[in-house]
Amino acid sequence: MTRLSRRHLLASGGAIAALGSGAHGPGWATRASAQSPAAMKIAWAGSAERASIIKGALAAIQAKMPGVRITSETGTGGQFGTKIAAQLAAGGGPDIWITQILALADFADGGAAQDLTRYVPQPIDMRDWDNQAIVGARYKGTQYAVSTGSNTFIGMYDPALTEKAGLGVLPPDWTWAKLADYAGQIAAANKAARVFGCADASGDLQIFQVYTRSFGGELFDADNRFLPTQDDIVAFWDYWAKLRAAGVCVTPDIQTRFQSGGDIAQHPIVQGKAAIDFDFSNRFLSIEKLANKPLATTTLPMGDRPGMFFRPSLMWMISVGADHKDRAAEVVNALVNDPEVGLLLNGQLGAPDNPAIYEKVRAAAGPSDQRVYSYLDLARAKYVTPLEHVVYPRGGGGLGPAFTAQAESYAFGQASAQKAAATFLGVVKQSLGQ
Amino acid sequence: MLVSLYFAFTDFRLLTPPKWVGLANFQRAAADPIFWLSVKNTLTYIALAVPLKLAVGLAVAVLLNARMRGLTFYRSALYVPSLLGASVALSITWKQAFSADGFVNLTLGVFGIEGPNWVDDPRYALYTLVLLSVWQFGATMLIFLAGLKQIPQELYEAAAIDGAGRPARFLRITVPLLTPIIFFNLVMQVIGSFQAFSQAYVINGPANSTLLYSVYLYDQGFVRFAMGYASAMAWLLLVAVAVVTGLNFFGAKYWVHHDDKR
Repeated sequence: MTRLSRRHLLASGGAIAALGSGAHGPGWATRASAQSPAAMKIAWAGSAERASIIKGALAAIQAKMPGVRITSETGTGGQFGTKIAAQLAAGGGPDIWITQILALADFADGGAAQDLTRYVPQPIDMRDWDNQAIVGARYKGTQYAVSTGSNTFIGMYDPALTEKAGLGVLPPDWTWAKLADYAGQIAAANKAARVFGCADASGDLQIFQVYTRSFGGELFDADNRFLPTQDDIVAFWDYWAKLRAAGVCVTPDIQTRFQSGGDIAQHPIVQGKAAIDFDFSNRFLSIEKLANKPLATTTLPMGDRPGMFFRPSLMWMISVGADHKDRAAEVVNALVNDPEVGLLLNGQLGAPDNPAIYEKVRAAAGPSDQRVYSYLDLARAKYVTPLEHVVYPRGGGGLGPAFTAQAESYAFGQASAQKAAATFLGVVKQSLGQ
Repeated sequence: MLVSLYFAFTDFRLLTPPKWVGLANFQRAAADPIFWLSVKNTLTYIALAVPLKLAVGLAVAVLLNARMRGLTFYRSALYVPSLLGASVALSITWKQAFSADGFVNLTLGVFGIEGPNWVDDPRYALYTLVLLSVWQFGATMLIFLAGLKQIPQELYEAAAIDGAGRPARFLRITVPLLTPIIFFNLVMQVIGSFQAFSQAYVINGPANSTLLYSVYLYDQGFVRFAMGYASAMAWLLLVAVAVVTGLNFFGAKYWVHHDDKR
């Protein structure tokens, strides 16, 4: 009882101190509430390298927040969300965890994620952030999560192969028609080397989203209804089917190696099978490293307008069952707003959304990273359009694989585009209950 | 199990309390084309893998039942794949071996044969799963071998005296007397094949070509969090396994030879 009263008293004092200073940003370290003891567990998925970097950042946070004791739990990508959901459903689980866009709705609608509205803007201060990073972590208008850092789509190409086709630099203001044209020229120039012009993105729901948006459409509306029609999907698949038929994009068996497991080592551009490929900006350097040759960046093509958008790369969530929600919110704020922590994270979880930290991290970045930051600046300035409903609706987690499977059915000639699209829309209806 | 039966009649999304929906999950399964595709894949897999595995297991057991040098080594070596089981590591190795530039196609290339892109082509992907299952014939082989040891040698000697050749002795003596063992292996393999998971999950062929029932069940429950639907699917699987096993037992009286009927 004594402890609770003291904690509240200290928290009140901290809030007043923060108001008095007029500061926003990493003011958490100086607040009186930082003295109250709080043990919490933070979980994330990813590589050993990521774990090492995040643990370093958490050590820095603990040094600045006396009383906060953080334990960590890591997992592998595909099963991580399931593991956390099962733990939370059983009444356990971490206090803070990282989630992907596809799983946010399940945690939010499922009542496992804390509504963070009352923690914004204090202690979680996002006032200087790009609006896309803020709304991208909202579900049904509620702030259930905080972006760990943002990314967007990226076009990657092998400049040696485009040079050979006499194309040189691929312009960022290109269109889908230009992609077909350039990829055709590259394929023709590199036929002897059996290199295709581009990868086949027909099975990627997120690239379909970019395609749809580039012609004025959207994937979901405010009520989370799936908007594209059967004809829209067929039009997208037919675009790629024509490229396949002309030998411009890779054959389905090459593309499926990447699609079946999402292993970036199987990207057609990494495998030397395609000159142009697509992914997310935060993965470009890893892909280039695996390709073992210099790659250049460009945007995803446009239609009538840019279809790309910025989105949270990953998101921090706080459990409704967390014992120390206030302190957890302070820790989350430190993870996204503390300059020292930002430098330690070094863009590992996406480009920092805090502009001051973004500049610091960028200034400290090496030449390779600078290319990505330059690309992000270019994309943000001219080649993205705002997207309000970034988070997929509940049940939407399985839509990506379902889209891939049906695109493959069409690509391998096992179903017509119409039938495959109808099957996919059936899955949408079933998954989203629409 | 009783709790999962209850979940089968609910909309249970793991993180929210289950909500009673009656037969909705079963109606959903009936109208779900991917559900039926997984059923078709699973039945195809069982129809191919089980007879082939039994045939290979029996053939190798007959060979190993002969008197030859190094018999213990051969028995152990041929049992090794079964020891490895349906592990993830083995499935990854299998996927690699059957990839476009994998071990299988490299071997075929030595003989001038250009192999297909096994695991990355929906026309062949399921067959690689079948081959993986058949390759693990060791357990069935050992059971067959134990059965073969039980067959009295005097029966073969009498048949030989009567002029029966090897094929006739195999078909008229070995097979009939092994039918209880064949039946046992058949039942166990069918049940096991209904539950095949890790190899299909890892190989993950294109266009849902290796989407077995258990993988789809897992996908619904643990990827989409549709635990109610997954529970309904689990109970449908249990019923299907029970029915098929029951049919096997019913049919057994027409072809399984029991000593007590002699």
